[in-house]
Amino acid sequence: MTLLLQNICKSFNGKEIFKDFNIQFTEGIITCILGPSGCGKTTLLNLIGGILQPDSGQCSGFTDRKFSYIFQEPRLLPWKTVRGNIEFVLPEELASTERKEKADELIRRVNLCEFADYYPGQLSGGMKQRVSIARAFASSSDIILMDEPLNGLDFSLKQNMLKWFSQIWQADRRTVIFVTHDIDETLAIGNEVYVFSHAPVKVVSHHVIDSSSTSQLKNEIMKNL
Amino acid sequence: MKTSFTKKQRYFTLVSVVILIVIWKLLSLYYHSDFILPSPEKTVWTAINLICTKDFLEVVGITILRGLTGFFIAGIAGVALGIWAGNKPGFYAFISPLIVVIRSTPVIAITLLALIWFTPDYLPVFIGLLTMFPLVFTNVYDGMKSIDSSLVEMAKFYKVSDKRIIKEIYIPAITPFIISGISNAVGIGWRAIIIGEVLGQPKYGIGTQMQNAQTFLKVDVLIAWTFVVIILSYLFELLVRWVESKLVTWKS
Repeated sequence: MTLLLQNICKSFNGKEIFKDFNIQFTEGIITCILGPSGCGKTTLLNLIGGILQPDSGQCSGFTDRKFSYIFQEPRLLPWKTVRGNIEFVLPEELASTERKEKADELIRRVNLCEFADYYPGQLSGGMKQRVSIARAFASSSDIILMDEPLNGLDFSLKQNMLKWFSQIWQADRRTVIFVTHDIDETLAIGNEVYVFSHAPVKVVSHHVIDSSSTSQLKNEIMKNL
Repeated sequence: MKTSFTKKQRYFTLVSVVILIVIWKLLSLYYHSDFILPSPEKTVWTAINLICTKDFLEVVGITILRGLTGFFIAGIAGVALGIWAGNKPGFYAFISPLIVVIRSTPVIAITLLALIWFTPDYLPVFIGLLTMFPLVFTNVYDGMKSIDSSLVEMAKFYKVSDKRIIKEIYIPAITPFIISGISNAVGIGWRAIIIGEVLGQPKYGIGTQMQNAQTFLKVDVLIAWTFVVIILSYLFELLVRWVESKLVTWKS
């Protein structure tokens, strides 16, 4: 099934963010959305996730889909342990042993086994974001929406996080829509990229990312940004 | 207030207590009258005798019962209305004049009115209730305001049910506030209940005993009862802190 947004219009306080906007996502890959800050990337995720409704136009292929999110800040519950935070998003119907198993599996994948019983206050920023990645993959969602989750992390931590993310994703291959303003992040993990303009948003260009020609692609995207 | 003293600090605390007792002893020697200030050792002896009397448990028990009654009503009302006010700005606007009036009315004014309205047995409960309620309410309301809306948003994104959002986000987030409200309320509530007993003169009660001791100039008995109140208040404070350490494990 294709994931399609057609003729979307959305404005806030009279400011048009989207006007007759169209975009299409391929399932099972990581699609990056690259654009200047404030151009409406977060709004797009909220429209996709059904948190916001468009003023007109339609989103098809998204109904009855489950989403998980990786936000800019980890948004962990301070009173729950790493395991508790991951279990929090698992369906209530699951038996407690199943929840624990599922959570522990993801904790293992982000290499936080020793920290499963730690509270977020006892973890570093990078570890917290890893928990938030684990939480997104633990949830039985169809689509993962990411809203600049690596913002504010330093260079080496960012590289580290991208590595964790790709590693888990390889084993899972869920549809990911990754919003960012960083070309290097895009080229590091994306399969496809849409470059957005300032609001009202237009798709400036659409590229398939091929690992053999990233520097050439980088120049091309830079021209469009 | 969380206090865990180092060894050195404990030493200073001990020195402070010893100095206070020495000053007390010197003053009692200077006045040389049990009607003004009995000596520390005589007071301790009186306190021991007091604890051994057969009425002691009954007197203390009834005062504690009054305290707990007022405290439970204030606690339940404060928590429930605080949560409601935190959720509904309209309700907060509606209830704040009442809270401001209760909080700004002097305890003695409430007591004088209550002397007219209530029988001596219920008067201390009423006064305790009115002093404790605004404290619990205000703390819970502040707790509700402090809830991180991005966490609630996260839970909604992940389609977590409202029931679990209340149970696993709202309640844990406001628990430290509820406990600090209760801790303040217990400290102030005790004093209010004793004042109520002194002025209302119910048949049993620590306040009644204090008033009797004062009437007959038994200063040692008055001070001994005061110590009983201080110790009770301290024990309740410890109890609240213990409950906090069991409930709020994630903060340490």
